[in-house]
Amino acid sequence: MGRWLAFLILALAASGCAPVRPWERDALARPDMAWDPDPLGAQLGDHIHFSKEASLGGGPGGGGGCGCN
Amino acid sequence: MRRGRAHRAAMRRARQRRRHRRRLARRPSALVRALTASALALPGLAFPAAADSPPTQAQSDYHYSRYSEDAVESKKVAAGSERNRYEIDIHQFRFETGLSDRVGFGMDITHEAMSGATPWYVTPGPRGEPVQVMTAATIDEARTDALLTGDYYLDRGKVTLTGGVSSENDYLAFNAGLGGERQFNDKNTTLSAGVAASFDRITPEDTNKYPTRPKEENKQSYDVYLAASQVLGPATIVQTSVKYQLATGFLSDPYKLAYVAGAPETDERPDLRNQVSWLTRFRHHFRAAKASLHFDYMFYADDWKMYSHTFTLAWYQTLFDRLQLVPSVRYYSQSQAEFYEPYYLVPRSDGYRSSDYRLSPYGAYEYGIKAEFPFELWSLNWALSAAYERYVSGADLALEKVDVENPGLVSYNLFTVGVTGRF
Amino acid sequence: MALHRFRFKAMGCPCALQIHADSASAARAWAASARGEIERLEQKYSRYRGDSLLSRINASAGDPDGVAVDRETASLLDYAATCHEQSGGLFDITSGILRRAWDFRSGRLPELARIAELLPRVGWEKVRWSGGRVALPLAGMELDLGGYVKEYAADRVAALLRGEGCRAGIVDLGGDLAIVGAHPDGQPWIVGIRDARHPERPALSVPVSEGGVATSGDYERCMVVDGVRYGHILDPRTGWPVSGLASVTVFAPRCLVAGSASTIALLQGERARTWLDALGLPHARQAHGGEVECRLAPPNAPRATRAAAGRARARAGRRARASRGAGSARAPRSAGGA
Repeated sequence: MGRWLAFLILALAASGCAPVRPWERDALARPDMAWDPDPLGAQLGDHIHFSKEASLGGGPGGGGGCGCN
Repeated sequence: MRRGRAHRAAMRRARQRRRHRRRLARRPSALVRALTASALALPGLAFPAAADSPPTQAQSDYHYSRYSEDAVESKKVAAGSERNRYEIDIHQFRFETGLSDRVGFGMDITHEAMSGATPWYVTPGPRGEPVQVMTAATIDEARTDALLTGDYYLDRGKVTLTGGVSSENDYLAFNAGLGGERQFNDKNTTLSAGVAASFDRITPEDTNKYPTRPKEENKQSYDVYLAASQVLGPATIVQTSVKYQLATGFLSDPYKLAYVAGAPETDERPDLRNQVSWLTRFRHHFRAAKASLHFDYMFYADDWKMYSHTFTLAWYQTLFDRLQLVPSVRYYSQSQAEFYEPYYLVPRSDGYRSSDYRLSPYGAYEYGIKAEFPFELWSLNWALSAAYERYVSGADLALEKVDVENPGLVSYNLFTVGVTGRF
Repeated sequence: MALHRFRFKAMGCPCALQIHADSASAARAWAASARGEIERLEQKYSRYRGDSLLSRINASAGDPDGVAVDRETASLLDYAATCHEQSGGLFDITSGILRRAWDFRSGRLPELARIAELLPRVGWEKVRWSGGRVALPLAGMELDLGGYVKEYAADRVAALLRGEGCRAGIVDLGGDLAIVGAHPDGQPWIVGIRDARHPERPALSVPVSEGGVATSGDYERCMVVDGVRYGHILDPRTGWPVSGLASVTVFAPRCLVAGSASTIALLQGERARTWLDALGLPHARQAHGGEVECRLAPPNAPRATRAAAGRARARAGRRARASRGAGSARAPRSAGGA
């Protein structure tokens, strides 16, 4: 699965998609296109998953410790 | 037959024409490049196309959430043991604002009040099946967590500094992080990197009652991450990031026991854990549907021989130009830690032991729906939101076949209501 | 933070400024510096003001020494030279004198002799422009920067406001738009493009968050003689009107680039469509018959369908905020607005 995704990403990046110009960015600028449109919800979800599952959350940002895991 | 072929050929030609037109409209011609270069030579016109900037409005959010775990099934729990599990009231507050045209500031405060019983240890049942023994039901705990974030915005990037503290009656943790991002290629590519560290002190309670519990322990963790995001089209963006964490010190659970050769013993895990997670996130906006699709996939592995896959799918639907509805699903599957057993008939030669359900093999699905309604009042912008999530885990949900299910696996409901204000 | 609107007249056009500001006084201060900048450029480059730099240059026609110009004017002349070169001589800031032959209110065609008399004094290639001095070699020659100073002014004002800390706003100088920044919540500005045949309503609405938008039209001044339509877009090489499209709106990283691209497009006459297809900038164009064609950001850009235009009109009507100008900006939501 992981290998397949890596291939997909590389293929997309290498396909030479033309750069999107600043004035074409209205869709990308939408709040619902953010990585985390609801930061508090994402924070709580990550915290619960971190404390109930074994995995370390991914993505940018440093994790803070807590006594839950 | 012949007509079908002619029709297909016509369709193909139409597709080619469309593709050709897209290419034409997308690549600025030599003329446009010449005019733009000449225009940028004019005084004042060479400002960066769009420098990122701190929020121009202050924003404040408050969320209240009720987290409640399902009671353990009676057939999985030891006779007479408490069945009701954790209930948590969570209050989250967030504030962010721009302090100047270069500096942004954010603050997050979380307060949780927990009560209920948690899994303590697992014993073999009459037919050898694992049976959960719970702690007494009267654990009342509170956790307060505060995080400060400072952003310094550059013309093509930003630097972020974070510092936080998390405090419980038996736990104190300090963490700090430094991260940076830089945009390239006309803001189509963003690279980011960062480091973080956390220093935690654990002072377990009731050590008089349970003399085997440690009185004070420490653990440290150090994170490094690298991320790259790429705009794939006017409505598509993808990000991939790798995070490595080294955790050292007391990584066991002081409140859990493992049943070894007939007697409950303290939970003992290695004092070193190397963890890697690889997260890929994809966002696409459908203009006609006024909706955005979010897809995330994470692969995780560590040197306790655990690995996991997480898939998350969310659909952000805008209705009536205002209301936002967000249905989402998540699937998770993990393998077990190398030294995990529901219970141990003989001790391991390395001395490690843990029957914590979090180290057991299982899978989980989650679904949820969120609604957000923005409105204006007193000439300010507000939004109300409400969300519900349901999480269910089980050994039979794992990607790989699991022989014995840990009886302590958790399922929960999460209700959230929130309000946001922009000033 | 609230949206503040200012309307004023400058450079002979109705203008508007929409900015998000913390207080009305901050917004007024920004509006004042915007108007100051426009006034400065108008004084410097107006051909109607005898004391303008442009009038001094034009008054020097015939003097082989010409006039020394400052850096800003030099860059503007360089820009005109680039446009002239890139358009194969169609964009020509010396062609303004041809208007003396064409009186569109008269309903009469000019005498051929009159055009023949003016043509020798038209042609950027005749202008001596080097070493910071511009010289018009023939008496009666004139420069006219009116074709792009307004767009330059819009870009200047947007840059100036950014420099003063304004992050969200849009500058509208007679339908030529420059964006300071998207709305504070990241939402784009919705730009209404005027229907050339029904100027009171927009043909379509387009979301824009950065850069500039400019429209050139051939419908404002024209006359019909013996069933033939003569528009005011004149080919500097022949002195006769060219007319392929009723209007062209171009979206570009700067309003100035959008403006010159839309002007050159109209000067292409019958070839305007193919020229625009190869331009590589998002644009919308309207034929004399009224049909609108859109070549916006592919592949998911909003398409100009009649239905979309109808919705845009309905929205504009509901908000009782009629779109004004060849391209005018409306806030896409009512936040803090009217």
